[in-house]
Amino acid sequence: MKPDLSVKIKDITFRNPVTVASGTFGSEGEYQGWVDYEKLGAIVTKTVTRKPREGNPMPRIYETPAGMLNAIGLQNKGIEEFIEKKIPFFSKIRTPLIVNIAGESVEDYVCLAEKLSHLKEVSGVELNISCPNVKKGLEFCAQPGLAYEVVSEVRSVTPKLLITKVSPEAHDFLGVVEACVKAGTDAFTAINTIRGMAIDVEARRPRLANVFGGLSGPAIRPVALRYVYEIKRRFDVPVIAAGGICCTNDALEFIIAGAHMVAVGTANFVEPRATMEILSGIEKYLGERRLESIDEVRGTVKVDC
Amino acid sequence: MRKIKPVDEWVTIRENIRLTPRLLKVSFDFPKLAKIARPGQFLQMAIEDARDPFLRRPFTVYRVKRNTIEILYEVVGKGSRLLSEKKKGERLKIMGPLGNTFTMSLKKRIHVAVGGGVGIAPFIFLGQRMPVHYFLMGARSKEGLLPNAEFRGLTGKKIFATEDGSCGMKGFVTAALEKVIREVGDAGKLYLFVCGPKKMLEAVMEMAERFGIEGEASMDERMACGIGACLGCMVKTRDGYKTSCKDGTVFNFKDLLVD
Ligand SMILES: Cc1cc2nc3c(=O)[nH]c(=O)nc-3n(C[C@H](O)[C@H](O)[C@H](O)COP(=O)(O)OP(=O)(O)OC[C@H]3O[C@@H](n4cnc5c(N)ncnc54)[C@H](O)[C@@H]3O)c2cc1C
Ligand SMILES: Cc1cc2nc3c(=O)[nH]c(=O)nc-3n(C[C@H](O)[C@H](O)[C@H](O)COP(=O)(O)O)c2cc1C
Ligand code: FES
Repeated sequence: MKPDLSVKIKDITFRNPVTVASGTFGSEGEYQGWVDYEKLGAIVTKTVTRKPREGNPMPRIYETPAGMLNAIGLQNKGIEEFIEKKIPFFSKIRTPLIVNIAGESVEDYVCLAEKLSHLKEVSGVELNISCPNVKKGLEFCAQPGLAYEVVSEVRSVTPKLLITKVSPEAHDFLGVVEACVKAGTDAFTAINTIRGMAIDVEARRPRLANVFGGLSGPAIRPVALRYVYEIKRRFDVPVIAAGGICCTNDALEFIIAGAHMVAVGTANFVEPRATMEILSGIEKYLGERRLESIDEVRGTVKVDC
Repeated sequence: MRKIKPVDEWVTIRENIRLTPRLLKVSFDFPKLAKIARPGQFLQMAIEDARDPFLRRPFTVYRVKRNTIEILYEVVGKGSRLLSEKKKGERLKIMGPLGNTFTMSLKKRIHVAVGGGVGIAPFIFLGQRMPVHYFLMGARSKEGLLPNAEFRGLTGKKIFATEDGSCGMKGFVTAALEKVIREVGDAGKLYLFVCGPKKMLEAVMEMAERFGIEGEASMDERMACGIGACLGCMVKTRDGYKTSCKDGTVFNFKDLLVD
């Protein structure tokens, strides 16, 4: 018998725990031909904002050991065009769609969440309060008070699955998480990228036009794992893990630490089929151990202290 | 453009040789890719199995011979150095073809390919598939110029320019272009295909504008995904930022905004 990979968060049943990290999976089927979108547990969009954003100047990316820096700057066409042009594409796919949103004010987040709450194609909203590459990007994640305000205001306008995406850069990380839980978030995505920098020693200039960029890839995986574990140790709330997940083993580490789902990010750029390979790897891991369901693996890390 | 499905497979190196002190050539059999690749397109190469270096490296298709693909490259950093150390029989993971292609349906034009250094690479493949009347190649010195033997089977006239004057005309590739303009007389008849360092592209496009010459350029940017997903490789166009990897790499001069 095939093991049961399905995962339930709030009122949504995802067919398996494998999803993608915002901003790493394109916006209109770039991975078709590599990935069967119907086989993913969920699809997460690139961040959508109220107004179109051109994004940061070039250069925007720089490779680093076991990862990369990016400062894309939330380039997107804005919510109106997203609803008009992108939603029709996703409506043909039966996989739950999670739309990632970001704003510069509480009002922005509320407006975006409200617009999306009317769409049957949208299963969930992910609040990006942790983008390091735009002005005010990290503000809402920096203090528990602000995080509480934005999550509770959004909560009051949408009954949909509400996920808060957090940054490891919050000074009081667990305080922010607690505030979001109290404000009514249904789940967390952890983690967003970590701010970094690189310099061209010939030109003596930063490698990125934005100076700072978000570090992603395997380089941040141990950090991400620690944060996922810390959230799960303190709170009974579902977590979608992100941070350097490249293969089955990586994904299982996060699930054993307690993650409900695993989001493949930067690895998509290197191995476009990474999600599909991880999915079959998890299935194989369960099958070989005669485990009937992913529930028998989640959060089973044995810690002696 | 017709929609083709790219492929991604491990291939075995047939040959990996040095052509000049600066230029190397690696070849491998990849029948599926050889069949669908078109001039101007590139591939994403994983050089090591262990994801170190982490990202794939983009390389243009240099030549297609039946089932064999050839890549022309120079050593500039870790990835290309590791590639240069690979031996016949070792493996590479190749994903492609990616990006758009040069315009192939031009009539009654004199096709001039302008390559800076290794930027000559896509034009050998272009020359295999349509008449290229002139190959202009610029480099710092003769070590950066493609040996004559590599142009075998191509009929176009070759004009070389080196900055140190060690081979061909002394100066930049724009000097070679000026020579062609004089030779042909009517600049409006020319159509340029350009690939190379940014400074060279700008100089050539500036000249093209001055003489009213049409053409297109391959805009190579640092890439992560190579398929339009990360928005890391943007090119400034009159219509806003476009991805080099998916909307390009080939853009018409008319659409480009050069700072
Ligand atoms: C579409 C396209 C086609 C190309 N075709 C060829 C070709 O046919 N032959 C050839 O020799 N080179 C080609 N290049 C450049 C080639 O990709 C780089 O030389 C190579 O990636 C360098 O890798 P590295 O590890 O040796 O250098 P490093 O400097 O160590 O690389 C670090 C990072 O920067 C990127 N990078 C470094 N230089 C360049 C560059 N000039 N352009 C884009 N990315 C760069 C690398 O991909 C990597 O992500 C092409 C680039 C693009 C975008
Ligand atoms: C190129 C790039 C673009 C990204 N864009 C977004 C974005 O728009 N919104 C967001 O919430 N996270 C964005 N992220 C962060 C990822 O979703 C993810 O949280 C982070 O990269 C860590 O996972 P990874 O190491 O597997 O990539 C982006 C990451 C990368 C590399
Ligand atoms: S390299 Fe990712 S969009 Fe071009």
